Amino acid sequence: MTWRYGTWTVEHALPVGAAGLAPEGTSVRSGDVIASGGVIARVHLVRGARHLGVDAADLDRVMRVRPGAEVRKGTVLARTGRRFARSVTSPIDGRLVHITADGDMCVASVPAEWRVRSVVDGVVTRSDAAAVTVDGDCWGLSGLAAYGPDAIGDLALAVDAPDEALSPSRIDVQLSGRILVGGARAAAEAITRAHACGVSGVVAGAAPAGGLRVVYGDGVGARGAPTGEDRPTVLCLAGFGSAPLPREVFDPLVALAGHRAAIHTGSATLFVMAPHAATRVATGVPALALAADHASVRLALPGEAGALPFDAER
Amino acid sequence: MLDAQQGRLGPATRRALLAAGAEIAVALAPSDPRAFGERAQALREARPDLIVLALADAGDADRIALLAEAVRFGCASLRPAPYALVATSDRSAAARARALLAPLAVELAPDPRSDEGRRAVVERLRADMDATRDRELEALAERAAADRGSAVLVVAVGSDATSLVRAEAGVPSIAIHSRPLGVGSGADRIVAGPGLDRVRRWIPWSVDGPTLLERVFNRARWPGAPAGDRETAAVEIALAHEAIAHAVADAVAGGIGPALRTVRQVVLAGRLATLPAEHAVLIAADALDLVEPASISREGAEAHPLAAIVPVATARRAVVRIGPHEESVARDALYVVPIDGAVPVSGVGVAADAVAAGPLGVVIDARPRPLALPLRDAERVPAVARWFEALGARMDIG
Repeated sequence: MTWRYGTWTVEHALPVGAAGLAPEGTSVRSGDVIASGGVIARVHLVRGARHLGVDAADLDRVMRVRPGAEVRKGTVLARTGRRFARSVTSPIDGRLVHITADGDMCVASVPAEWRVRSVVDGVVTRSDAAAVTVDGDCWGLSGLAAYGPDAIGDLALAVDAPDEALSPSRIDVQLSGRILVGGARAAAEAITRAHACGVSGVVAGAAPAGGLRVVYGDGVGARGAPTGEDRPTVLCLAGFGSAPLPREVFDPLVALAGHRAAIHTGSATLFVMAPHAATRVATGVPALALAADHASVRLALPGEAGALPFDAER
Repeated sequence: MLDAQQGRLGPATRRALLAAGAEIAVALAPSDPRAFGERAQALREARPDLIVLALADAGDADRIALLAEAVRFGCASLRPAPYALVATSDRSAAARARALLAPLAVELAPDPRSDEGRRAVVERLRADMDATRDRELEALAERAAADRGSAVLVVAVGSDATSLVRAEAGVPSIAIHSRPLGVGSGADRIVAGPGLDRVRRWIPWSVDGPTLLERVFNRARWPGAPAGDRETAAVEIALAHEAIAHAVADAVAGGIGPALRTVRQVVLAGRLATLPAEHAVLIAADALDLVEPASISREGAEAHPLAAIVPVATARRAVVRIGPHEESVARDALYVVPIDGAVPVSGVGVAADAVAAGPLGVVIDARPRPLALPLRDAERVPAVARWFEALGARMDIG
């Protein structure tokens, strides 16, 4: 199946420096903050265990502040003894981010904060410094490659037909916060205009590879580039260049327009928070083929050699 | 890969990783200019399966203490968490590294600077991956070297790996398996950054960058798609050129560049073996920078060379004797002398030897190295087209 309604397990990878995490078992909605933290650059190394005269393994016993906590300059991080006390204090305003294997403490100033939002409605099933995983029931459509940060918003059609390119002239600020459905192609002009108008993300059959480089940089590849920055979000469903969407894929997008949706760039998947009955999907998997010059993807002819099912592992 | 000695142990470790076919996702040294948080974030995003560090002594372990903290901060909570392979012969260094990297699991391996140590590291790394094809290529090189009685280089370009394996009887083999670099699913890695222009320059006509990029990206996600026309065939040939160039650069970074290319026979494997003979030989002549005359053959027909390549190093003009022929070779020349079978080769700027030619003849290559292609299409296209034409490599294939 290309479209699937069911339970999806979505792993939200976290940057380093997590300070707040949604506990396991928490029910969340798409768009809820499930983790937050600070951008960490340089750290101040504060002598810990050796200064306090304790073994690194015993440091936890004398800590006054937990990793991830905000500290002010002079805040006591750890302390031993009573009358002849020894203590270590924070040299700066910032956050205690890490304790080394030798029992020293890394305190960092936090120039910016980050937040990670759940892309699906569901329940948190894993929550730690590396990832928060949410399990939820919804519609999902796996694509080929996604670029940019996760995007959340209502699904909105921006083309009239599956073989139509997303035109910049159809994008304005009234579409702010939406996830736009393009047709066969979302060029760099449409992607950047959508971002400028506050559009959350764009889903299309393909995007020109050169345009993706313009938007995301020369290092971008064919396997997507999830980022946590303020960048546009693009989900390429079938390929690069141009790729008319099969009816089996496009018609449910039309039916699901208006529902809450999200693009999870880590897995290149579009999720739509709609009930199972909101649309019907075809049982067959459409087949695609590369054009002879490899510059675009097209619908395969019946029995064509070299064609692959839409959802084939590529 | 953590490099404690800022380049002294690094090449040995890199060589072991390349021999194992491992992808080096992040390489860190104590001199790395990135801040602690940036190092940790780079490691987090790379999601490494394995952290490799070679240590000469406990001092090395102390030097990587901050790098090890970046590893712990970035990777300790990953699932599955990477394990660390500490390559050292020093017990105190091993103990210190184990303490620094806790709670990551740590395995020990011998110092990779020795042949046995490198072999042990390679075998340990291969235990976690499918190295069947890599082993096949190494066996092929060793078999061909034993049959020929001289040094053999196997060059294989696959979908997501490019291999260079040099074997010689009585000498330890040298292997480089660069991943993920290839003409299929690894194609997009070749065009990353400035790589697009480097690929484009091998195409014997004008092609704009965005169009080429489209083809490469689609190819990367559709690696089994056949080259349907001359455009896609040219992209495959250009990608093969650069895949080999990347692998050669990896070999140089591992400290084994020149040794790889000093061989008497080159065996082309993988996608190279499926290309028309003229194109395969042209790729070998362009990309390998051979230093001695060598026979070029294909995997499966090692005893039947396609051609011989005779590199000629000359500032202006040199006289080269090929069997009964005497050729006056000008600098920058590339042409074919139609001779089949084994012939002695000698002359100024040529390593004297006997080479076995094939149906394509003896390719005289006096182009200055490294090959410098003009940037402007108006100069580049005629030059590249002339090289294709010199070897009879027609582009109306597909």
